[in-house]
Amino acid sequence: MASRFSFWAVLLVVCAPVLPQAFGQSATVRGFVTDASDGQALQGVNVALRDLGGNLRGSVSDDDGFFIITRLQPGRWMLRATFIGFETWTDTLDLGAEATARLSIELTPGVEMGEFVVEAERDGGATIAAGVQTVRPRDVELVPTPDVSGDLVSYLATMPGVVSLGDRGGQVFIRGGEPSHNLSLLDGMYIHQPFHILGFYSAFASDLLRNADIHSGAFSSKYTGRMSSVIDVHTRNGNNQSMRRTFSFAPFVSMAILEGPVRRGVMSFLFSGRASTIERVAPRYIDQPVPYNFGDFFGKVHATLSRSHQVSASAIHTYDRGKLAENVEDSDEIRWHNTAYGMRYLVAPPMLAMLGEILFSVSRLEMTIGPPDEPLRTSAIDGFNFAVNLTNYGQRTNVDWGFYLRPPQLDAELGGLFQNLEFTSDRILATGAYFEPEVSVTPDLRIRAGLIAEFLGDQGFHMEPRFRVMYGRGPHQFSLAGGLYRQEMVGINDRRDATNVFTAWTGSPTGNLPSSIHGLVGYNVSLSDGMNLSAEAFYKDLSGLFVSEWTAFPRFTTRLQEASGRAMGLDLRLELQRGKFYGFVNYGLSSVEYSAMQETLPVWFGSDEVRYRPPHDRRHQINLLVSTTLAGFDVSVRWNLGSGLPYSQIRGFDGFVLMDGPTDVSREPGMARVIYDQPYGGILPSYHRLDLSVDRVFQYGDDSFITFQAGLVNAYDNANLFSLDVFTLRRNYQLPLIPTAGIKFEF
Amino acid sequence: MRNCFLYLLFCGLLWAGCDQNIEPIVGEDRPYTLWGFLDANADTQRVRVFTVEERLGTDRSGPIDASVASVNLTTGETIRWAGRQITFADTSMGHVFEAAFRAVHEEQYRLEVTRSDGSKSTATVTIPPPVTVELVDERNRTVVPAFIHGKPPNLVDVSVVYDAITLPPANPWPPGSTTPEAVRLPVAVSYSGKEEPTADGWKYEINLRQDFEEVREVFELNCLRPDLIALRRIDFRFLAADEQWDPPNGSFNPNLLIEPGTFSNVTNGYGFFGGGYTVSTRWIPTNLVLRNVGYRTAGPCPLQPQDTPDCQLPPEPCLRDR
Repeated sequence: MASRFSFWAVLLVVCAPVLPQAFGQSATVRGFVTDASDGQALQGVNVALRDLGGNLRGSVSDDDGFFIITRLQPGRWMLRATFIGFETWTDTLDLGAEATARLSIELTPGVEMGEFVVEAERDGGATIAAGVQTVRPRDVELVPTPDVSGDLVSYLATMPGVVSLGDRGGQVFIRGGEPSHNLSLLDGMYIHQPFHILGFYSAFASDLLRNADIHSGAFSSKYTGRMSSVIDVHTRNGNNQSMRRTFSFAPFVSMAILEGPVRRGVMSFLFSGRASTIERVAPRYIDQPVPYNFGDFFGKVHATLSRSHQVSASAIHTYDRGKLAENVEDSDEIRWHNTAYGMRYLVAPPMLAMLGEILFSVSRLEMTIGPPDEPLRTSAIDGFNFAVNLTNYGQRTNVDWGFYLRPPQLDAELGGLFQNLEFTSDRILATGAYFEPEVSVTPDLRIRAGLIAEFLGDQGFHMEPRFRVMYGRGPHQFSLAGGLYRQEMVGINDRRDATNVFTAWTGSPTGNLPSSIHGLVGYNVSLSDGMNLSAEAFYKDLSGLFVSEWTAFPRFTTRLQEASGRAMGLDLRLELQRGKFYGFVNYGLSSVEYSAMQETLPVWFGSDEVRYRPPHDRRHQINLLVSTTLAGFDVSVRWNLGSGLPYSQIRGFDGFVLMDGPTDVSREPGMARVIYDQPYGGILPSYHRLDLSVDRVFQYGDDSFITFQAGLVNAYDNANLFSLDVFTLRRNYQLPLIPTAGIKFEF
Repeated sequence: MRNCFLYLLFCGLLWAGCDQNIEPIVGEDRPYTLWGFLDANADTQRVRVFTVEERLGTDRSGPIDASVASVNLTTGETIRWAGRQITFADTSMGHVFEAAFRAVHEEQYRLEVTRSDGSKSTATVTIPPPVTVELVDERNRTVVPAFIHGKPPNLVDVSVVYDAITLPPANPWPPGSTTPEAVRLPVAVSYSGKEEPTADGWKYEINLRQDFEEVREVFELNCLRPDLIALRRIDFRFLAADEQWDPPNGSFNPNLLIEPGTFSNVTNGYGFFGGGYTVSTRWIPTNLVLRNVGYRTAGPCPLQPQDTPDCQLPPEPCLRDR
């Protein structure tokens, strides 16, 4: 107890000069909002206070269910907490001067809605604010998948600006950024390769999800170490009221979840396991090998220690194995697995208008390709992450600040993939602190400006400024955001081959850190009841990229070279919700260009600089999702259209004989050579697919459910190309029409 | 609004259905890739001819639609070359065209490779002028000045080849086993780029002592004892080459040169067809010089077993007297 007091005392002394002063003669109301039926934190709950004079103050609970209202005049206040689908909570508070009321609001499921509400910042599939979109389980469940339950990655694939190279490989590109430029966090734990080898699945099953914040760019100072985007996923807690079991079976994946209270109302656990069955089941009814094996195990224990303290411990293990090339027999098998475990301590200190979280986690990723006992290439990331994130609340100013330490160990053995990089072993130190106040200049205008001071070992000190401006007037909301982003480690991948998803993690081979400058401007409007329209334009300037050198040596090996680039685009979203109908359509316009200097290029391409569209530059993308209820069945339809991805065309093949002396050409067989056309000058056919799902939930008993689901993946059996081997002209297609069916038991 | 969604879906499907062509091979107008050179010292000239095809690999079995001729642009003489299919050591097959004539110094030739439809690739070369090599007191020096008199446009692959050999000991290990044979391992030390210009050519300084370190390294890499190296002879050689035989950055880096067109003098085609001739001169230093440099002139007879971590070999046999 004494140590806890001294910790917060030190914190108070350190922060006092710069942080908002929430005290004086005013009072504060704060607390956590949970679902009374299972103890889950409720995000987006309107908590409003009205005094006898009619003054209204309010707040909206965050993803931990936390809310805080500061600088209240002492006296009597009537509190109402309202949330759609829950009975309204009311209370009368008599607040004295300098008093802090700490509440624990437990909302009971119902249908009431309060009469005065404070609007949440964002909601829904079409609403994006300064590059951030919050995704909730109900959003994910709307997307048809070959499973009874959804998965976050299926929802990601419906977002404009998000490109996946196919329905396999686990590679997701967000607004021009490569997969290695994305930061993926699960309860604060780094998950370096979160997407499973089959594109419908990731480590983020919707049954475990509380919410996910998808930062497509221009993210805040809390996030460091990646230069493009952030996927910050929070899992729900186990049910702290009653024991629950969930089992689901489907042709692709089966899953089991067990959760319940350790101590009713205080402490809960949640364990889940998911294993693919596609390798065994699917070949029986589709004429295509699907040599994929993957799964994940997750566990979480959560405890509410008091009205001000919560702690949780989480662990996850994922595994993937499969062959991606068109010729399954001859191709190399790729394997990876993530293991992570961590702890999150959430505290609202009694004496401060502050919410803090302390994160400690250990993460490991191992990836190999080739025979299991003698892999051709290996790569591993191993390290811990310690972070303290704090928010101080004032009436008009909130301050986010914190510090972090992570020293990942990176090891890679590249087996000749890159001739100028064979073995690497790096221990990288990344430590820093950030400070990011958000000022409500007027009730309509909020400005957030942040600065990160980071020390990266041999790379020295760096500063990363970031900013975010939000302006809302009536139904209109404008946003502007930007910043400098840097990452201390590099993920190297040979993108010449779409089936080669092996990524080697290393420190920068040249000492230049990958970095980017982001800028975005957005507009969001509520057109009418249930209809939202948003538009967001973005620009990312990329430098310190590492790409495969352009070479006429056919496939096999290449050299690594530095490149720069830029990504820009426009995302448009339209969302409609009317009664039981929900739908959205979005359009993503994107342009990505890389630029690389190479001494071999001048003769062939006329300049020593080659500018090209990298293979993930999908210029146009449309996603359409419709969900409704018909005759008691929930029906979801999703259609996705993506314009063709760039690939390198070939003029022809000849042979090369090195004439470095009096070579006897009658004895020297020479080497095969590729005469490439302009890099990535060709365009593959466009990609489009329609997925359908129908499901219905039957209740039996008081609290038990059976869900039946049926669906079609690629309903009109479009032959979508996954990869094209330009040397053999072999084509590798994505999944054909696959009927699916599943059943889920919850009791 | 729902109709709007359906309309969008319909339009999208229409658009998507119009775009399924894929052409990975766009084709190449240039018909041939040529590799070879006209050799002023050879009685038979050769050129390797590749067609630019739509399949990967150096193997070009079967007939080739090509006819090859050379024209001496100085005299006007035209010679038809005969094609033959060659099976290389790696079992791949290729087309080599040959002609029995000797290229003449300082005369210009044009090689023409013609397809039946008239499309042709050509290369024009000028045979460089003759040179002479003068070594100064080469048998008795550890640093030997080598003068090249005459000025060919380029000197390619200038190297000194040390024809080195291990001296097997007379007593094999383990006792009773047969004496292994001496291992001959010629080591080429590059002198490209080390030339100094003189009034009528170039000068090289061949440093035997310095080069011996390189020879030792190569022997060690091949698990041969570096203290038992004897030298049979030394070759100083180079290719006197024409003006075009000049790679970018002065380096024959295959990563660079493999790029189509990067090192090419072929018109309407790829590859390189040069002109030149090999010059070679050899000598054997005195035993005194060899010993000073570090070579063995008589084999020692170590009788203790050797078991180094690198080689795990029994003691090298030695030659008592050679």
